[in-house]
Amino acid sequence: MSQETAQHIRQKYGLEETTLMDRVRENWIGYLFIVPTFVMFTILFYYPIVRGIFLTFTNTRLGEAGSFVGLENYSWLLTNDLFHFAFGWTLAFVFGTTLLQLVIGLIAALLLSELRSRWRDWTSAIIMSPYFSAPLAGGVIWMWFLNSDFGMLPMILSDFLGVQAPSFLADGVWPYVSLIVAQSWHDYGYAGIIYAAAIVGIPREQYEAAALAGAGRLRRFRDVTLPHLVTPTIIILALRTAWNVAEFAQPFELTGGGPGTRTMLMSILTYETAYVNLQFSRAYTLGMAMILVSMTAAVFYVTVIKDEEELYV
Amino acid sequence: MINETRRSRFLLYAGLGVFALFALTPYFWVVRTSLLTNFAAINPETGYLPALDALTLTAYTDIWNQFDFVTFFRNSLIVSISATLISLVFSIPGAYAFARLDFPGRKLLFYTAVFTIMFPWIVITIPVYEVFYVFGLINTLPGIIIALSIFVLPQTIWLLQGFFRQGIPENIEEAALIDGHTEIGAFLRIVLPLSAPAVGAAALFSFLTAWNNFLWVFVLTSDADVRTATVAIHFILGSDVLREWNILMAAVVLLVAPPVVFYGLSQRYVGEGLGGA
Amino acid sequence: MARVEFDNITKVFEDTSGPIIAVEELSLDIPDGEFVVFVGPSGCGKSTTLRMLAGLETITDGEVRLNGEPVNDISPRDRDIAMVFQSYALYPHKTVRGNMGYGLDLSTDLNDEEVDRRVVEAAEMMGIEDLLDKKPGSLSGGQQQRVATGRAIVREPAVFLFDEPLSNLDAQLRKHMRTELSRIHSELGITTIYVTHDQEEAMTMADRIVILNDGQLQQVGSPKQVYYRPANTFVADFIGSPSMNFFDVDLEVASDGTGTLVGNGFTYSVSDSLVDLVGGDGEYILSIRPENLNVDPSAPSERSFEATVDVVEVIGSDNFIYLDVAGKECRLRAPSETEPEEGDVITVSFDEADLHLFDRNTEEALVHGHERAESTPKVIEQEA
Repeated sequence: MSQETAQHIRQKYGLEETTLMDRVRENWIGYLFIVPTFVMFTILFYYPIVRGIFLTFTNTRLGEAGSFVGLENYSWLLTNDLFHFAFGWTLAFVFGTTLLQLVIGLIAALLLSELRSRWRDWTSAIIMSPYFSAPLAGGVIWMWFLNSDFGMLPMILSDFLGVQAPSFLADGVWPYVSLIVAQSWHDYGYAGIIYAAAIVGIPREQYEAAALAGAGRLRRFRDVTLPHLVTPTIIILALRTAWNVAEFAQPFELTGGGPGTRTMLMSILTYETAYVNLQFSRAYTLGMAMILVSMTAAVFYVTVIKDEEELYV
Repeated sequence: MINETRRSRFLLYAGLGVFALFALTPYFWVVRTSLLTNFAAINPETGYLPALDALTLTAYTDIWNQFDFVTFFRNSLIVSISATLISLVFSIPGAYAFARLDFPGRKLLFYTAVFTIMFPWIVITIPVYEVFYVFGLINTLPGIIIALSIFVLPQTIWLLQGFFRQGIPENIEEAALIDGHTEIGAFLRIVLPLSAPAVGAAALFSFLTAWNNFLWVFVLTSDADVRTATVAIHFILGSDVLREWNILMAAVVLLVAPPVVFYGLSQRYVGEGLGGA
Repeated sequence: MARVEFDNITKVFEDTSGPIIAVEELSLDIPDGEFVVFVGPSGCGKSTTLRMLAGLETITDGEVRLNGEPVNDISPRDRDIAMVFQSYALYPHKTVRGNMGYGLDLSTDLNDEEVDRRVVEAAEMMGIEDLLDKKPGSLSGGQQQRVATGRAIVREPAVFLFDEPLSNLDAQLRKHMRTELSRIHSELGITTIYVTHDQEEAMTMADRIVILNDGQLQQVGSPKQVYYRPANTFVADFIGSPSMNFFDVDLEVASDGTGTLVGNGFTYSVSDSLVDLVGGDGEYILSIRPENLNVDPSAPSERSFEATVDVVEVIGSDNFIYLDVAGKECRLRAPSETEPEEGDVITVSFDEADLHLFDRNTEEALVHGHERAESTPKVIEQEA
């Protein structure tokens, strides 16, 4: 058996002399296939990120070059009341809707898994359908649904329950509830799809064995289904947290951060700071807070997904 | 199901019914409005399920005369198709290399993909806007197309690499090499034809993602003539023009119908083997 | 003419944990027309060596020659080889006819009729002529295997390469295909290199067997040679089923020159000539094949030992008897009439001519029966 060290082996067969150029030459096809993509990512993603971070240390506005201002933007950020509010509300929003999406998606997937094949595809398409509409459209759809004058929900409430509906997008706590519910309506399909795929992968024999051992429906769910759902749940949590933090179109359309700034989310605040107030540097500084949350989720996600084959996009 | 009883079956259907209701009711209200005259739409007399003779398609015909929707939908089409094509050109070889070849930098590509997928895009629009401003790409269709191409690229790569990893029989490129192809020849003449269904699905998903996009178009344009339908609806809603709700809802239906229909159909035919799920 | 030479071939893979030597300094000469089987456990380097010959793996060191010409830097399509993969690697979107003719279309300028003629001929040889217009997806595993083999035959290459082609088939089909492949080889006479992990396959099909372990050549020889004169304990253990029995023994030479092998739980007197062959007392490994052990109550006690019966397996033609010799398992093949009960203590004997002695430290063969083992390069010397 070879007891030679790695060093010795390489030396012996002349493997140390491979330079970068040698490796490129050997793998040139791989590089050819990959380089354009990398270039695109670098120009339109990596470079902007770095540029943006640099921006946060200046006072750039749209159309005007800025000058270096050190940590001024960050101190503005940390002392800004609206930021505090928006950040807190965003966390609450993300927490609420992610949880809701997860639960609703799970239940939908569980129910669908019991259907026989022919119906399952159509039913699945119907139940997951909110996810496929443009988020912007989702905003319009719910705005119309909740509209105090013409919407269906207020109409139902007054016709069947004799209740005068509140203005769902303006009164009291309702805007918050509406945003979370509308977001969950739109996105639970994603969790549903992921869970459905995971559930399909559970071998039927495991359920049968459990049933034979006397386990009832709930028990079987707990002992057979649940263990298989741990990984998908973590994946959904990580991905949806990142995506819900960044959610823009639907909340923007529904409330635009209002009334006033009562439902101001980080994404909307960033948008307004950049494109309404034209304060690019400040806006990117706000963005840093969002990036922090998203990237925490990303790190979490990557540590769970070590097997690079499954990214559950 | 195990230990199926009449009752459990009934509960299952009831549960699914509730879900279907939850999913469809908001859609329903929009569709209903789009099939009425504007007056009927806002008239409380019309009732939840309008009488059949109250239904009309005028909204769908009038829409083309109003608000320049021809331009808007045309732009949506142009932008979505172009972004799809561009992203395919980059992502097919990229996904293939990632899935089948071994080269230094694979890990980097993997982390890049995760990073880009989870990054808050609203933040990135800011420096990108700066760059586009310098290059005169603001308020142009090419600008939107470029931005959307990069936006759909990660998901396209991931869809395709899943297929290339699992959907192509093992050793098939090697058999092609022995039969007489060069490595590139093997890719073009054997692998690509085999990937047609996967590429088709990836193209479809890219198209629909671009079609649905609001953020980039909204940020990068202000002129109405380069606007896409998704953004146009926002502006119309926010304008002070006397509301023609039925036309607006017809626009929403037209915007939402293609993705819902196509995604729905694809659930049936695509599903496994095409990506992580 | 297709002579294959491996000249000091080495393959090193770079892994995240460091370099791995998959094949180490392998040298081998294969004359034209020979059916050579590479055999060994998983990871021994047999497939890697095959793929280096095919051009699907780069060669770290050494040279591969086809008919005297080095082919290290020549791409697979220019090497005049054809290969059958374990997974068959058929093109799913082409018909059987298309699959088989594809290589000819690509790399030769034969006209369509000629290609078709060859395809039909090969199809008939493989018994798949009525499948020609079907696609691989509608074929069974065995049929796909034949198409893959047919595809190789059609090329009329200088060398056939088979990479565990029968591993995905069920046992019966596998046996049947083995015979077919051997028949095709005698018909076509093309040099063939065949990789398998199944020693029985190797023994039945090969003109010569090449045994590899851990990237290193263990022995090259005809099936009889490797069976009756294994070069080391690895080969002795790997070849033959049920596998060889091994015992640690000490050879004690008495003052009068008589030798006794002393093992754990038994002793065995050996002849003086054996003592001379071995060259004196010392520690060795004794090994003996199950079929060379006999249940013989009347055997002389100095050439037999007692053992307890653990399990008796009735195969039909024979019985495999698993014995306990002082705590160690010993396998014995007996005729079917010999069927002791579990728990019986029986007398086991063997003939000195059937034993093998191996060096305890190097595990190399020293003595096979009454002959000294050759110390020719059946085993590559390790670099100090």
